[in-house]
This record gives sequence, structure tokens and C-alpha cells, in this order.
Amino acid sequence: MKRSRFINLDAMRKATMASTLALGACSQPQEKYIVVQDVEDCLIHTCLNEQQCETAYKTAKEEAQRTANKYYLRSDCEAEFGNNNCEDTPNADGFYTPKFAGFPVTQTRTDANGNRVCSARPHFPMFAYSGFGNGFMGNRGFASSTGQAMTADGKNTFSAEPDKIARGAAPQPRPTQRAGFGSTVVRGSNYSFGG
Amino acid sequence: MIRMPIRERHNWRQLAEEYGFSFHTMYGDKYWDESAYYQFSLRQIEEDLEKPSEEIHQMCLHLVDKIVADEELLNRCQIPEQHWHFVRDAWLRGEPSLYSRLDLSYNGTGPAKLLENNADTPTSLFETGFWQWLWLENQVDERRLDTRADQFNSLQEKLIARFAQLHEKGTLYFSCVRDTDEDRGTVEYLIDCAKEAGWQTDFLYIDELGINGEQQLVDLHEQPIEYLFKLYPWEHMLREPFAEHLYNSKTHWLEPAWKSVLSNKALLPLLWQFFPGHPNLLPAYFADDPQFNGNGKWVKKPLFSREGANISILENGKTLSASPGPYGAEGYIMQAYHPLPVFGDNHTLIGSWLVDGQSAGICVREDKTPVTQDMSRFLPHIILG
Repeated sequence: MKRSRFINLDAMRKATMASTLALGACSQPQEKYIVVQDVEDCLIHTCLNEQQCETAYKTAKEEAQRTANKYYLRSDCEAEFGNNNCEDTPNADGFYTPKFAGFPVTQTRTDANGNRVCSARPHFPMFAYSGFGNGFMGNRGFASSTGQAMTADGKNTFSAEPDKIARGAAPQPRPTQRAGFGSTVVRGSNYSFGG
Repeated sequence: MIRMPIRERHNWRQLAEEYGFSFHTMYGDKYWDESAYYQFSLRQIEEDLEKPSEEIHQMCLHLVDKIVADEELLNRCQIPEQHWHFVRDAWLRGEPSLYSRLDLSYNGTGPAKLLENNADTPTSLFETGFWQWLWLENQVDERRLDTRADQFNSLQEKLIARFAQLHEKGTLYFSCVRDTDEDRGTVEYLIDCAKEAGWQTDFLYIDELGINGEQQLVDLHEQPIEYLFKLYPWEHMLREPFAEHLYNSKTHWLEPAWKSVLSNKALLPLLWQFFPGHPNLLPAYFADDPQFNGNGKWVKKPLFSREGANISILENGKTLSASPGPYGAEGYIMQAYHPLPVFGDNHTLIGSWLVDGQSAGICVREDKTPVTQDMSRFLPHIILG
């Protein structure tokens, strides 16, 4: 006999697997963000002070470099992020990566005491994007590091579920450095890496 | 070797759901196809596929031993220099491996020809080891197939036995990238096999790996990871920033790092160089080899490529056809054109599985085009006669 003599069918049954795989995002309320491209922009358009803007900008640049998708070909990168939205990686390792476009800050609001509040999300840098439905009528388009497009709803602003901007980006910093592998994502996030 | 039509099991979709086979249909197209099957004779299986697969595997291992000790060859394989030590040490320490799949062109007569060695991240494992096995049991029970029908497929049995052999007290982690049902399904299947063999298992996505102050890889709960199976290619890993932690971490990898050499297409011209004229090999050269003159018909493959991406067919230097894809930056190899056999209007490819160097079964894939791609259909097979 050239085949397995016995397979434990009970152990193989998992009617629930398909549903755990399909674990989708439950919908959350949307938050309105403004994307600021540098410290000056940050000072003009948000309620953050100079030091906060500088720290956030520095973090966002670092995160952008660390988490941005990399592509073997510029054309693959541009297919994802749009024409002229890609450049050589900063460490010139032969890959292409989308251009850093800034970081999101929640739109300034006034709290119960009349103070202006807002908060930066420098761990979720934004990248230039001009895909369908974005980057026209004067609205700049933005996408997360994995190419998840943000729906622009004004000049430099978009609304999204807070989870959505985090998709594919690194978790908040902690004592452990957690980057793992997977940064060589070759166009199309549902590409199988098996062969 | 013949292709036979057969009635589908009326309840196979329901069974697929029951057993968690979520990717039998992908992007609206049929991936699992049980409207027909392939029939082999025992002699074809044993003489033409089983024995040659083990021999090819041994030849490949012989080459790995040469390559890890030779800087020029490591360069040829495009192994990044900063990781030579890591790859070499994994080989010299004898880090164990689990499995691989050789892709063969075989039409029922004459020697099977090696097209490539998927030694690092082979998939279609569940479909081979379990799902086509179940198909045979069901069809024999229904008397649609002869009760003497067998299958070349001890894959699941051998995987479990191999996991049992490697069994340690700690947790064996499994990992793959996000957003692919196929990869996740393959990993789930291996988790089942490892559990059956007595392992304690856990899962995390490949980007969730962390490194702590002691240079240990850790999971999301900061637990050190001692044993880790990853369905993610070494060729990518070794080029990513996180790879700087590999050498100092004590993690045992499945597949081991020396698979970066074994799964490399640079192996094809090197095999031809070391074993010229071997009946199971096709002539192959590096594209920039001065000895290669381009006369005749050749298949041009990137050093790193999967799922049939970036493959072109050339005749006397002229491109006849080319498949799209993102690969090729690391260079190309040329392999003598050897068309897949055609059954009806299907181009048929044999995947031959090895577990720890032992032949463990085959899978049959069909495609409407001469280059087998991600979306090729998977058909079951039997041995009779």
C-alpha cells in the first residue's frame, strides 16, 4: 500500500476553521484625521506644540521607513500607490517604496472645559496615493504602509476607523522590538508565499 | 498514466467545509477539480517517480554541502553575504528539515524531468496529504473506483512521523503572512499533523515576531520561541531588516536556513554542472554563462520566483511567451524547454513530495497554459495495475 494507512478523521474535522479565517473587522465609529507632512504643517493645522510635532514627525519618518511596502520594481509600487508616488528606499537596497506623505492627527476638537484637543498617530505614517477615488479635486490621496487607501474627504483630511489606519503597520512600541518578517510584500497582499 | 473522467462526490463541498478546506475555489475559479483523475501503474510510480525523486533530492543535498563552503557559489545563489555564516552553520549543525516538493515533467514513459525544487515553502499539502486521500476512500466506498485502487500518498502519515521524531518539550510555533487563505490553510494542516505527533503548538503571523533584550525571538506574550515553522521564503527573510536578529537568536527553524540554498533556482544549472546528462535533469545554465549560446528552445526563470511568475519561453534568443510578475532582480537561469505532457487540452505537472528525504507521494496539477501557475487545478490520482 502506497498511501497513508490511517487518518484520524475526527481530528481533521474543523467546521469552524473557515469562520475563524474570515474573522473580519467589526465596524467601529470613524474618526476624522488631518495628515500633516512636516513640523511646520503640524504647527499650523493641529493643536500640538512644537516639541510634540517634532517628536511625532521623527517617529513617523522612522516608522515609514520601517513599515512601508517594498517592491522589486518601481512599476509594481506605482501600480499600488499611483504614478510618481514611489522612490528608491532610503537605504538604497534596490527596492522601491511609496513616498512618505506625513502622519495623521485627529482633527482638533474642544473638550468640555473649552481646551483644544487632538492627538497624533505617528506610528501609522501615510504615503502618497493616487488610486481610484482619491487624489483629485485638490485632495491629496493617502494610503497606509500596506497600500490601504484612505478616503479623502477634504484637503489633506480623511475619515477612517481607527483600526483601519493601523492595518499592516507596527503595533505601539514596547520593550520588545516587534517587527518580524513580512516586509517584502510583493504586490497584492493576498499573494501566496507558498509555491 | 491516463486521465479518466469520474462522477464528482455529491457532497464534496459540504465535506470541504467540514474539514476546513476553504480554498477549493479561488477568485471564482475551480482549484480542486474532481471531475477526472489520473491513473498510474505501480511500476510508473515506483520506478519513474518514487526512486528518482529520492535520488534527485540526494543530488541536491550533495550540492548544498558544496555551496555553503564556497563563496563564489553562495554569490551565485544570491545569498546575502551577511547571512553566509547563518546559512552555513544551519547546514553544518545538521538542522533538520521537514518536507519539500519536486516539480516534475512526466508523461507515463521515459524518465521524469526535474523542473524545479520547491524545498522551502511548498504548498498544496493539505490537498495532497488529506483531501485526495479522502476522495479515494469515498469513491471506493461508492464503488465508483476499484477496491484495489491505491494512491501514492503517505504524506500525512510521514509528516506526523517526522514531527514525532523531532518532538521536544517546548512549543512549536507556526507562522505565515496575513491575508492568504491558502497559506493559512496549509499552516493549519501542519498544526494538525504536529499536534497528532504530540507537539504543543501555537500560531502567530510572521510580522508579529518580536525580539527581546536577550536576543531571543518572542511571541506576542513575550514568550521565547524555541521552535518555529514559517511558511515564508528564506530568500525574502534574508533581505529584510529583521534578519539581523537571526544569527544570535537560538530559534530552531523549519524549514532550516540551508533551504535558502536548496530552493534556489541556481541549483538547476549547478546540478547540470555536477551531474551532466543525468536522465532526470534538463540542461540548465546561468543566463550570463558564456557557455550558454541560446540555440534552441529554452525556459528563462528568475532565480527567485514562485507560482509561475516571470517565466518566459525563448527560441534562438527570441521571446515566444512571457508570464508577468514581480521577480527577476536577482538574475535568471535558462533551462532546456521540455513541454509538460498534454492530456486533452490540459498541461499536466507532477509534484513529488519528500519528507525528510523519503518519497511521500504525488499531486497532479493541470493548467490550460504551458506554465503552471497559482491557479492551476488540482486533480486526484490513483494507482491501479
